[in-house]
Parts: sequence; C-alpha cells; structure tokens
Amino acid sequence: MSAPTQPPGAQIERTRLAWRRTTLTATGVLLFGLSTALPHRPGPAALAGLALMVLAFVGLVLVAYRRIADLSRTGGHQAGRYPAAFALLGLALTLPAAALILARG
Amino acid sequence: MWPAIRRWLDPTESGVGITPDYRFSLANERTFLAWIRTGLALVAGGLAVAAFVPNLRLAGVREVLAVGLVLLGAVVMIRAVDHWARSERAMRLGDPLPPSRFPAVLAVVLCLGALGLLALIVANVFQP
Repeated sequence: MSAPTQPPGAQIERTRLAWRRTTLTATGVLLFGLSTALPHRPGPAALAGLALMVLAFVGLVLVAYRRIADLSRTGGHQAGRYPAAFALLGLALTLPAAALILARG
Repeated sequence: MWPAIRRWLDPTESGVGITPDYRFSLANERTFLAWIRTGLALVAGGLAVAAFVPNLRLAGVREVLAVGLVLLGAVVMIRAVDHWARSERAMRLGDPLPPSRFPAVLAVVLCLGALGLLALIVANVFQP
C-alpha cells in the first residue's frame, strides 16, 4: 500500500468529528451519573468517586482536544498513544461508577 | 499479556512494517472511537438500571445487573484499544485483519439481557 503525501481532507474531518462525538457521549455519561448520584446526598466516599469521574472526564476532553488539534496539522495522522490514553481515562470514568452503584445498593 | 499491553501504547513497535495508507489508519481510529462510544453507552445503561429500575422482589438483582452492565462497558473499552492496536499492526505487516467474534457475542448477550428484562416485566416481579 502506498501512502499519499497528503491525506484526503474528508477523512481527517470525519476522524475529528468522531472524536467530538465520543467526547459528547462521555459528557452524557458523566452528567447522567452526576444527576442520578447527587440527589441521594452522597457521603464523602461517594463524593470522592464522583470527583474521580469528573477528573477522568476532564482528562478525556483534554486528550480528545489534543488529538483533534494533531489531526489538523500535516503529518498528524498517526494515532500514537491517544487510543490507549483515552481508553485508560474511560476506565477511570467507568470504574468509580461501578463502585458508586455498589455503595448505594 | 504484557506484549499485548505494550502494543496498545505503540502498535507500530517503533516502526515495524510499512506505514499504511493514512485513510486505513484513520478508519481504524474511527472504529476504535465507535467501540468506545458503545462502551460508554453500556455504562450509561448500567447507571440507568441502578437509578430507574424499581425494587425487585429479589434484593440485589438490580445492583448485579447495573454493575454488570458498567463492567461490560469497561471490557468493551479495553477490547476497543486492543483491537485497534492489533488492526494497526496487521495493516503495517500486510497481515489479514484480526478476526473477532466479540461483536456477535456482545450482540447476543445484550439481546438475551433485553429479553430477560422483558420477561421480568411481563412476570411482574416489580414490587407494587
């Protein structure tokens, strides 16, 4: 397979949009988690779990933002460590949610 | 297992094989993101079960279901980066893309779960 010197713009744009869609989904998950947990007057441990989720979310947005910026530069096509970083932060968002459910149940 | 995890961070292993057509790499990346969104949706589903399913006659079933969905979402996210890395590596080496039964397995599991939930509703196991 030969690589073109400049990737077609549509592919880059579609990939940037995919990153944005994904952060939008993560935003929905965070807001949903907060809206269902906060009305129950969470104790300090639960608040710590929620804070972890918020931090993970901020990390997700930062990673996505940097990747989107990279994609706009020429030569920024390789995803490098972004997928691994994003998946790890996704876990940091997800696992406190499981703990919160168990703690409340 | 550790080589697989190292490959998540660097599927090219410092440049093994040849760089594939950028469009294939970007398509692989978009597929990874689609799987991440699927995982996130499962987490949202688990949170919804915990928040909205009323008390069941069998205590704890709701929590097991909710946590199960959330953990399934986590598994999907891990699998997303693993499949992305293995696909990227296969493209570099000119190998066939790694086959996977995961999508089919996930579809069957979710279908069974939905049918199970339907059965619970029909059997009216929710306390009045």
